Parts: sequence; structure tokens; C-alpha cells
Amino acid sequence: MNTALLKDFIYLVPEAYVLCLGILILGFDLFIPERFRRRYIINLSVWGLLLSLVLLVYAPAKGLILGNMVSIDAYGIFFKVIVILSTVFALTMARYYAPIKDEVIGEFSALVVFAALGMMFMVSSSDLLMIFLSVEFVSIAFFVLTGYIKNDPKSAEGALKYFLVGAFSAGIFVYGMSIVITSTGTTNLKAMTEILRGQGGYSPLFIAGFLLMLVGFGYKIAMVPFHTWAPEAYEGAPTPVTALLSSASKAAGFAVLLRVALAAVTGRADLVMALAVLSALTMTAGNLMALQQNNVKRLLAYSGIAHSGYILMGVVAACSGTAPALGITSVLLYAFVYMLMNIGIFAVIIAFFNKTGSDDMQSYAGFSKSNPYLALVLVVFLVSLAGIPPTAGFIGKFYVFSAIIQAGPKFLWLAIIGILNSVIALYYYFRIAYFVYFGEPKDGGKVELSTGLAVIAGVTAVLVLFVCIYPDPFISAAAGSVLNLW
Amino acid sequence: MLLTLVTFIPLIGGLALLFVPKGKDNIVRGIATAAAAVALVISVFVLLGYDKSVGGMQFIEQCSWIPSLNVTYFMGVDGLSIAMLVLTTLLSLISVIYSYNITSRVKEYFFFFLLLETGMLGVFLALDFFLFYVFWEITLVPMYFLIGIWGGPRKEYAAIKFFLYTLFGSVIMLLGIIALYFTSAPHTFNMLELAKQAPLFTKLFQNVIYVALFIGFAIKVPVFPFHTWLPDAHVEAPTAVSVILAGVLLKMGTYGMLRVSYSILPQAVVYFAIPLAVLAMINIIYGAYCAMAQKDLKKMIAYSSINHMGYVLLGMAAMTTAGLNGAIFQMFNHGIITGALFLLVGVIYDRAHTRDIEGFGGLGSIMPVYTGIMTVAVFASLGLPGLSGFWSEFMCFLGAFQVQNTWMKIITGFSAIGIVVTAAYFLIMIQKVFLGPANEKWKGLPEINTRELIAVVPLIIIMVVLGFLPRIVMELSSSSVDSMLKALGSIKP
Repeated sequence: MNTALLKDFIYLVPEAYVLCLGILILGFDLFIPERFRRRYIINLSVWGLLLSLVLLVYAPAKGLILGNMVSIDAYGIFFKVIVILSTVFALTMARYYAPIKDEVIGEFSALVVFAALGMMFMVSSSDLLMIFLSVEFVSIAFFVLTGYIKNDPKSAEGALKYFLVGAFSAGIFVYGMSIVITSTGTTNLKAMTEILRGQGGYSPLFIAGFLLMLVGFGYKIAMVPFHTWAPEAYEGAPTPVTALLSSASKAAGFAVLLRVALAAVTGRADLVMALAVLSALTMTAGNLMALQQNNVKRLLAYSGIAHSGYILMGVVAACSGTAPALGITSVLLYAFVYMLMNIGIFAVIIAFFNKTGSDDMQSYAGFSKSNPYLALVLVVFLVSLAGIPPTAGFIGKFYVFSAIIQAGPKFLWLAIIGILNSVIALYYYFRIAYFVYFGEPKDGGKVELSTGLAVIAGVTAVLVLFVCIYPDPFISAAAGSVLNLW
Repeated sequence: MLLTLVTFIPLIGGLALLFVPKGKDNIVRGIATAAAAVALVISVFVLLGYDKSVGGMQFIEQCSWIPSLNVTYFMGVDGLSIAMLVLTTLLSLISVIYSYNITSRVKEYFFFFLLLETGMLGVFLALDFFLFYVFWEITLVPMYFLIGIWGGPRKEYAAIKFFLYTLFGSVIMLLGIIALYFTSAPHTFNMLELAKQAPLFTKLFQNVIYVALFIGFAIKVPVFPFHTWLPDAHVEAPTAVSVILAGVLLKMGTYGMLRVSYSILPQAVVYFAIPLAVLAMINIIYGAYCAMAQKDLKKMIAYSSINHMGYVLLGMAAMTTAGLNGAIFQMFNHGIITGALFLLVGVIYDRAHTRDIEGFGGLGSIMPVYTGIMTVAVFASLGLPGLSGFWSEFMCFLGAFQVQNTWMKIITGFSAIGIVVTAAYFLIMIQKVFLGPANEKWKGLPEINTRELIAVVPLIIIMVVLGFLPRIVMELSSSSVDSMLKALGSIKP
């Protein structure tokens, strides 16, 4: 190993730090009495992770390191912030989530931190091998996390389904990758871009390989038709894990997909069109299925599929060649915004679940009478998910649609499908609001909001409003990530 | 600062009343009234300070909001919006006062109500398209809850129908706005800047954008065939919300057309003038006949709104001085008159718990004061000379008839049928409800009370005063209309 390579490790300080944190939590777990574990271990992981944000923000953007395997750039850092923030939120939720027992909270926290570490690598990988390793790292952590409630058959079912579909798609992904590597002769995205831009770069073999790889990404971001695991896994998983799966894991999936797509798809009209069709399918199918759900967690799973479709619009714009900067910005911004509102709504759902033990929409009847403020916060998240101002969801939607319009009249149909979908989505989001505000309460009990959940719900609700009222810093951060994208 | 103040004072009031302890409903009502009253006072200040002789955009406030998109916080008031500003604050205050009879979930009610007021005021004052859209959508959510929680028997259905319909319109509009942004050079959402760039937009582009925006505006107005949400929403909404819905929200549609389409897409406006006139004619005649067929008093007035908004559209399609001034005046008048009518229907419904036109009879002898007020409002609505409605309807028709175009003259001629039918259904209603022998069943109905009088009488006074002095409102808009016509006049169809 030469010294230059060794020196590069200095840029991985945040990752090294998070790794040490995970190990520290595991060690800590051995020595702390059970009744203190919940409090101390979660505090340690939450504050530890928050500290890593400082490291991230001050970490210099270096560009490609470790023989072009990893790219330390603003783009990656933006996604790492999303990952860390949602992990922090999810861990705080876990502290107040009863089905995760005291005796396992240590391993649970460590696993979550390791999953975060995997995602930090995912978002900065710039080499196919690195991508595969980090994606699998994350997947394995999530297989375990999804099935964490041992005596709940739903949790086991979700985990198994997630695992089976995951293993299957990973196989296809690797197969596709091998074809791509053979046809281009490199595993490195940067080198691949140069080869593809040259004469005859796009062989039929490459296209077949790329489409197979898309299966793997599709699985990660819950793209139709590779979404089937999502509802079961979301419903069965402990809710903090669901929140993490639907925000951080999805954001990381998009980070990788966009990096690969920028290299492999840009300028290839047929591949861009394929992505556009997948985007339209994903949002439409997700929304239509969400319409029929009665369980709030399942509904959010399907709506999450629909949101993947919206973000894919941004990917399409980014790769279309006519709106690269705006497309990338819109993907980043949407991933961030979606994380905020998703985490927020899951915090409310957990608070509600802790009290009633139910995730059914009907059981929300009369929620606003017993909890007027929490209901109002819930409505803020619903309005945001529906993409209506003055909320962050609107800014995200606005950017995605702007990007697709700027991409040119060729994609106008996609914009129109997106628009129609946002009307459908409104219906089922406001079905929740319907029960919350119009339904008659059954027991009328007040939902006790533990401090941690109140902080999460409050902070995210304020942020959701703030992002719309003063969006510039967020937009600038997202737009800044486009620069120096290797 | 005045415009920002007037826009956000209702919101501040709404947030403040959230902190009132449970059970203190009168404090909540007091805060809501104070916020709405302060907004009205400020808007009157703006009205008095507005220099009619100069015209143009006044009270301008502009600062950067989202630099990366070149979005500005840009507010201003001109001849198109000043009447709408006063109309909104006035009807809001009146509705707040009328809403004292709301007894369930008072705090939430007034919170949503004041949030709605902020949204509406923002729409009329915003001059940046992005800001305009934000305010436009802010009105949707509170309206959904106001109809859905405090409405009539089919409130949930009406609420979600209203929401889905108008959201559909506004997202299509959003695509149009984004397309305008990317076509302008340099990219801007500034409406005045976009209007300056209007000659650079190709004809095809203007037509496409016009249609996209039109769908958004037309659903709000509502223009046939996008009107089906209106009868449901109006009938199910609580009285004060119906007042706002008919009095202000519908105007957002026609105001949007005037503010955006007429200034930014002039070629398309000229191109689509005749189709717009045809739609106006359908609105007028179809709305009138539908109103005539109704048994439910509130539904009848809801359909009469479709009919009356048709006059506005006709005046707009004319693109003459009289037509456009008449359209703006009619927007104002319809707000006042229909607002009063909905309040009056609410008064009778609160007492009799029915709105069946056939079920009443001879109320004139039971509730004489109420009958008198209702008759004035009805006469104003059907355009009796001496009351405000006459002038604006007359000007809309006059303006449309002045156009040197055979089609336009034919359309205007047919539309006149609507006036006759309007008179017919209102007079039939008066006859069935108020005249004839007193129905025994309603002998005990109490007369209109003070709270209701406080709400209605100011509107009646405005109808009468404007009936004699229409120029008070008309001269507000004339200079803005003149400059708009100058821009439109240079375009050959």
C-alpha cells in the first residue's frame, strides 16, 4: 500500500468516527445495567451521531480518493447529513417505542449506527464494487432491524419478504454489474463515463447490464415493479426502523442511483425514456394502491413509493442533458424534504400507537378533539406530503416539476402524470385528516407525548414550515452539491 | 408595510387565539374580531391613500425572498386589486361577526377562518407569481376544514370535492407558471416584469400557457363545465363560509385572469376572446335556469353565483373600457350582494331549519324587517336600477355589445336572456317565500336579531349608496383598465 493511498484515509474521519461509535455502543452495552440501557445508550448514540455532523460539515470536499473508489464531495456530504439526521431521529423514536425491549436496545442502536455507516459509504461510492459492498452492508443491517420484534409475526413476515426480495434483486444486480464491467472494462464510474461518451461506448450488452442493475436500485428505492417488499416490511418493522427505511435508506438509494445514472444514462435518449416510464409507473401505481389502505403505516409505504416516482422525475431531468443542474438539485432537495416530513409523521404515529396500540386509520377518529395541537402538527405533515404550501413538500414538488419542465417538452407528459398523481395523493392524505378532524372519538383519551417524540414532531414540523418560508439556505446547499460532482 | 400588515394581521390573530385557554370562547371571538377589524381599518387606509388620478401600482413592497430562483416578496395594489382588498377585509369581518353563533370547536374555527383571510388577501396583493401561487394554495386547506367540520349533512363529500377540484386546477396552473418562468429571460416570477416580456412570447406558447392557467382560474370562478363543485360546497358550508366562498373566493378566479392572463398573455387573450364569451353566455343562461329549478334556497343562490360570474366573464371577454370596468365592478358587487343573500339565507335556516322554497309562505307578515332587507338584496342581485348590481351588469353588457364583431353581438344578445330568467327566479322565490297567506307553521319565527343586523346592514347600505354613486368604485379601476387596454389594443386578432 503506498502512502498516498494511506493519506486519503484522513478524508474518511467522519466514517471512522461513526464506526468507532458503533463499536463503543456494543461495548457499552455489556457493562450497563439493563434498566439504564435505554436512556444511556440512546443518549450516547444520538449525541455521538450529532457530533459526527460537525465532522461532516468541516470535512473538506476532496473529490475522488482511494483510487477513485470513494468520492468525498458536497453531493455525498449533503446525503450524509440526511442519513445522520434521520438516524438521530429514528434512534430518539426508538427510545420511546415500547415493542423494542430494554435488553436489546444496545444491539439495536449499534445496528442502526452501522446501517448509517453503510449508508454514508453508499452515498459517496464512485465505483461499482464499492457500491455493491455498501448496498449489501446496509441491506443486511436492515434485514435484521426489520425483524426486530421477535414475537410479532408481522415483523418476521416483513423481514423475510424484505430479505427474499433483497437477496433476489442483489443477485440480479451483481449479474448486471458483471455485464456492465465486461462491456466497459472498468468498475469505476468516472472511467465508465469517459468510455461511454466515446465512440461505440453503448453496446447492447452494456444496456442489458445497466437495465439489470436498475433492478437492484429499484429494490432499494421501492420503484415499481420492485416495490412489493415495501408495504409488508414497513408495516411489520418497528416504526423507528420504518422511518429510517423510508427516509435514510431511500435517500441513500437515490444518491447511488443518481450517481450511476449520471454516468450511464446521460444523453442516451432511450435509457432516459425508460427511467421516465418507470417514474410514471412508480408514482401512479404507488398512489393507486395507497388509495385503498386502511393501515396508516401501509398507506405511508405506498405513498413512499409514489414519492420515489416524483424523485425519479428529478433523476430523469438530471440525465436528460437539458436540465442537469436543476435535476440534481431537485433530487437532493426532495430527498431532504421527504426525510423531514416522513420522520415527523412517523413520530406522530408512534405517539399515537403507544397510546392506542393501533395503526388503523379508523382509530384516529376524533384525534383532533383529544389532541388539538398534535392533530394540527399531523395536518402540517399531511399538507406537506401532499405538496401544498406553505410547507417543505411544496418546495420539493416545485423543484421536481421545475426540473422536468426545464428538461423540455419531450417530458411534458411525465409532468402531467405527476400533476394528476399529486391530486390523487391529496385524497388519501386527507382521508387521514378526515378521520382526525371529522370523526367522532371513541374513547377520547389524550395521547401522552413523551418529550423525545414531542421534540421530533415539533422540530420537524417547524422545519417543514421553515423550509417553505425561508428556503434559500436549503436550496443553496442542494444546488452547491452539483458543483464538483467528480 | 401596510400591505404586509393587512395580509398577516389575520394570521397573527389566528396564531394568538391558539394560546387562549380552553373554554374561553368569548376571548377567542374577541381576538378574531379584533384581527379582522384591524385588517379592515388598514385596508380602508390603503383605499384612502390610493391615488386614483395616478393609477398604476402603489404601496409597493419588494424584497428578495429566494435569490436562487429570483423569487421576490413583491406586493402592491392597483385598480384591479384595491376593490378586492376592501371587499375581502369587509366580508371577513362581517363573517366573523356572523360566526358568533358557532359554538363547537370555536378556537379551531376562527383559526382556520383567519388563515383563510390571510391567504385571500395575499392572492389579491401578490405581484410575484410564486408568492401568488403560495397564497392561492394556502386558501385551500382552511376551506377544506371549514366546510368539512362545521358544514351541513354532506359536508365531508362537499369538502373533499372542493379540495380535489381546486387542487387539480391549481397544479395545472403550477405547470403553466413554471413554463412561463423558464421561457422568460432572465428567468423571473415578477408579474410586472413578465408583462413587459409579453411581446417576446410566441403565439403558440401564449395559447398553451393561457389554457393551463385558465383551467386553474376557471375552476375557481367556476366556469361551465368546471362548476359542479360549487353547488355542493356552497350548500354544505356554514353560512359565514358560504359568504366568503361566494363573496371572495370566486373572485380569485376572475382576478387571476385579469392580473395574469390579460397582462402577460395578451395575444392569447385576444385569440380566446370569443370562446370565453361563449363560456360566459353558457354560465349566464345555464346558471340562471339551474337556479330557477332549485327547491333549496341556498342552492338557488349558489347557482345564481354561476350566473352572475358569467356577467363578469362577458365583460372581460369584451375587452372594452366599459366591459372591463364593469367586470371589476361586478366582481365587487357580486361579493357584496351574494354575501348578503347567503347571510340572509343563514338567518332563516337558523330559525326554520329548512331552506325549502316551497315550504315557506307569507313570511312578509311574520318577519317584516327581514323581508324588507331580503327584498333589497334580491333586487340588487337581479339588477334593479337604483341599486349597485344594475350598474355593473349594465356595463358588462354595454361593453360586450360595443365590440365590433358579429359573433360577440349575437352572444351578448343571447346572454340577455339570462337577465330575464334571473329576474324570474328571484321574483318567484319572493312570491313563494314572503308573499301570500302566512304559513301557520312559521308563526313563531323570531325577527332578525341584532348580531345578524350588524352583519347584513352594512352590505345593504353599500348596495344603495353604490346604486346612486357607482363612480366611487368605478373610478378606482379606470386608470388600470386603460393601461391594460392600451396593451391589448395593439394586438391584431
